[in-house]
Amino acid sequence: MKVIFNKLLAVLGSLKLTVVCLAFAIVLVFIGTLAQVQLGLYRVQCEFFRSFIVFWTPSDKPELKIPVLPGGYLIGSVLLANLIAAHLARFRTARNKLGGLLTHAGLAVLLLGQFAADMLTTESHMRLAEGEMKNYSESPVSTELAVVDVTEPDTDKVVAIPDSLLARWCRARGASEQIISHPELPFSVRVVLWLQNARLSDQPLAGFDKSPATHGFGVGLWLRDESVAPGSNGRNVPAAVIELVTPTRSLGSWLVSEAIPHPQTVEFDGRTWQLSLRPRRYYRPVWLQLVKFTHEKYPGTDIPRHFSSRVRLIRPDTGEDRQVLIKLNNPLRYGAETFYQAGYDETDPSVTVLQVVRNPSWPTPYVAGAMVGLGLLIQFTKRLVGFLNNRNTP
Amino acid sequence: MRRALCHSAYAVSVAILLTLAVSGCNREKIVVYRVPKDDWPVAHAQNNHSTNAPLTSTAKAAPANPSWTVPAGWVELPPTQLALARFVVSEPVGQAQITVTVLPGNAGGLLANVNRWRAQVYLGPITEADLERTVGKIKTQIGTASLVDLTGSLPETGRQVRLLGVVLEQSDSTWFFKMIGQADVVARQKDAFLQFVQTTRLNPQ
Repeated sequence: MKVIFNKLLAVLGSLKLTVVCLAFAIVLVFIGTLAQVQLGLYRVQCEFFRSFIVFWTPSDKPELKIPVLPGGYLIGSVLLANLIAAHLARFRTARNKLGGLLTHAGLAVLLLGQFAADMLTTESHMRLAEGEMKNYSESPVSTELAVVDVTEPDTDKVVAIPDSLLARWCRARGASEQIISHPELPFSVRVVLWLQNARLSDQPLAGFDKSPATHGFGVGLWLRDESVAPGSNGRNVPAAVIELVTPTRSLGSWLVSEAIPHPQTVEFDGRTWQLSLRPRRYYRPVWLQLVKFTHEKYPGTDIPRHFSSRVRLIRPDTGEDRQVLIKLNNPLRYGAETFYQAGYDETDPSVTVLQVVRNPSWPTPYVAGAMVGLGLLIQFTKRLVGFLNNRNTP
Repeated sequence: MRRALCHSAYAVSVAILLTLAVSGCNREKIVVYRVPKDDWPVAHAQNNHSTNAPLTSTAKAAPANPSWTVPAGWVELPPTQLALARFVVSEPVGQAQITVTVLPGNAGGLLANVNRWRAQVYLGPITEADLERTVGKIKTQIGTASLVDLTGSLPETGRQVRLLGVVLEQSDSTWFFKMIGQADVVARQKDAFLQFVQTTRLNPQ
């Protein structure tokens, strides 16, 4: 048993495995960069770097998924295991190798920190026109079906169903499997149709199918399944047809889409609900109001020279109410989040776009860098002292 | 000792890999939360500091006990911190929503509010010079009011969205009546909306 374990340790900790992993990492980065042209940045991140295996699907056989490369998570995990195993197998007198130990521990922290960042980080955008006030930001890539009880005068109860679940339920084979039930909903939601990227029309154009919606804004509309938007800047406009059902009857079906910005109202059992498919929202207890957006360009060009957002920050539960200037390289850090000046609306000079990043693992690169730096310093100092001692020895 | 260390290190590695495998694949779930109404801060923004916003810089005015005749088919929704009254009218082909809002003072002026409404139906802003051509007049039981009728198109579908808006300025406040929705629904409900506005009275409290 011990022999097998030691052999396993030797293989897992071998330098060859390190080289193989690094080679795969180089290939992955190279192919992933090229694939961005076809798939776009977000899909490449998910399929190449935030996955264990990279699959390839032939264009004529979409049901096939052929594994072609190890994904980023697999390479990172093996590298981490390789690092630990190498330490256990080769660095037997760790007390005398404090520098090496620290350096390798720093690398392990860096790898784990990146995994943690992938798992825990959320990035979203807050688009504000001058005077507008919001306490939420929106995902640039994900959507949600918001079923909102607006009956109460002060607050709304939101049941948010993510787009991935809608897609998964729509793919379910039986009609009974397509039904989403939740204790907070007085009815169930059946996903009749889910289109990742749809184009809507109020004319029966070629290639468009009539919307099966029986209620709301989507009655009489036509829709067409578009291929997923290519390129880094592509933006999908998903659409869904959902049916609300109770144990005894159907309340009807509605077409929801980001292209239909007005929530659609449903009255049921004395309460008022609103349905909308919208970018996924991230709420927070602080409200931001855009006071003034400054956007300067170099004279005679469209090249941005300086842009900044003066925002009013209101926190009702603590009474906080102050103004903050957010500009390039000078973000607003509030709580666990950072608000960056990210962009502007080219069609409306009074609109700013802030990027909101929540990354609980943000200290790990700093800690890892310090550990690696300290480890290398110890190692080199020890070598230097040894070298000087040898040189001074007659 | 060394063997125990090895086992521990591998246990940790396997645990990390398993955690990644489980958590990395599917983090999606239905979430439920409560949020303040979208217009919540408007009523709370009592002490605004030099913002350019015409509407968000003011708190809701206290109206003088209004009364009106609600047209048939309109369903009343709960009021919000901003909207004094809300209704929805549903037809098989679509919906329109009606709101009544009262704000103190002139609420930023007619031009700012007309432009705000124009943005809601995807129309660009106009200037003061264009205002006269855009705004009509309507007589109500409270006084003469400004009437705007705006039609725009949803950028993605081309489907027409129409907004009827009435701005009624009082000595210390401004009343806003708005109907917005699918253009054909709004067209059919236009007479009912105007009648609703014209039947509105202010009763002494």
